[in-house]
Amino acid sequence: MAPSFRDIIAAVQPHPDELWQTDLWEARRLALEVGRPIFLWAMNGNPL
Amino acid sequence: MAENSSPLQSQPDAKGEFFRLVAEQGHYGGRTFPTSTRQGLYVCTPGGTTLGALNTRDAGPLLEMLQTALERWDHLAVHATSKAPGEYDRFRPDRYPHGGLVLRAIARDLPRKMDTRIDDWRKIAWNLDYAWFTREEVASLVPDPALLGATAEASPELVRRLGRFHLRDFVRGEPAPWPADALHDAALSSVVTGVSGDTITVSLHGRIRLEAEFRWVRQGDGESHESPCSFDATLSGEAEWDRVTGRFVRFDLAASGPRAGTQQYNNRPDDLGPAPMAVVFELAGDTPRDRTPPHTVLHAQYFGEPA
Repeated sequence: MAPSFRDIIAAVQPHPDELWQTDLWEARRLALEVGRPIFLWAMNGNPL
Repeated sequence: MAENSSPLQSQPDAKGEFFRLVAEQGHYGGRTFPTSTRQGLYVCTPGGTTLGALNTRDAGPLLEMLQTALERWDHLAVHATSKAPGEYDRFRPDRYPHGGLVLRAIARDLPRKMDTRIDDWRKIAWNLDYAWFTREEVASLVPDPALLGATAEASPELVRRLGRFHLRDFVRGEPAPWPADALHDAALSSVVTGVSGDTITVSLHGRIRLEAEFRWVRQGDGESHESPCSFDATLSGEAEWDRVTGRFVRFDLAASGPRAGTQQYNNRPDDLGPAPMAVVFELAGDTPRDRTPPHTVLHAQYFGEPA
């Protein structure tokens, strides 16, 4: 540390402990390619 | 895979139809009250047979659902549909700003002198979003000629989108965009502080003040609510522009200051403020995860079109 922008960015960064396909159609194609089912996380908003 | 279900619940194209096929076999199939949401966690075959579904934040029930779904998968006689899905007529065009600026935005409360927040998740909450700007919009931040000390003003469109759609209090949830008349004292400027070969370093400075009264009717009991909201953001940062590619190769921007108020979906009714908050922006990568669209990208005015 009028904190600098670097101070603020550092203060806001998530901790590593707190830290995917994003197109259902592409996921469907990939699932067929590898012969596995799809795990779909769907939310009103963006899950990621 | 992870995707926003809001558009998928109704969009009239092949992807929307596939999502609805899966969702209607799941936990919210057919539901219309209190909402028609279909959000949740699903396991399905590429052909659209749902093998498991639920909506939970708890790991235990999710693990149980996944195990059951995989057992069902193992017992299926046929795993694949006859052909791979091809291209389809997209209802919504892909607006990813190729060649422009894609930023990852993180919002979190800053330390306060007097802290009365409840000591639970709300005290450590942070949230993530993405911001999209076109190549033309971000070029406005690079002085021409880029001599030491030269200055430039960000285009009105860049400042408008940054303020209305990204300087929202999304620390705990999902606020609506600010209305057009909420934007005050909005400016972002740059100053060339270094030139090394083809790399131009600029410092970023500005302020965006937002004020509006939000009103909503709570679903379920129909109760009306209103809350005066504000965010007085001081902008500061630094970025590096590559003259060869015409792109920023580093972009660090902090927007910080007092915020106040609550909205229907941002979980602030117990913390009306004013209290300090920051939204910080950094370059995003180009993995599928970092191509997650901005939360408000479907708003008619995100890219400047009239309402």
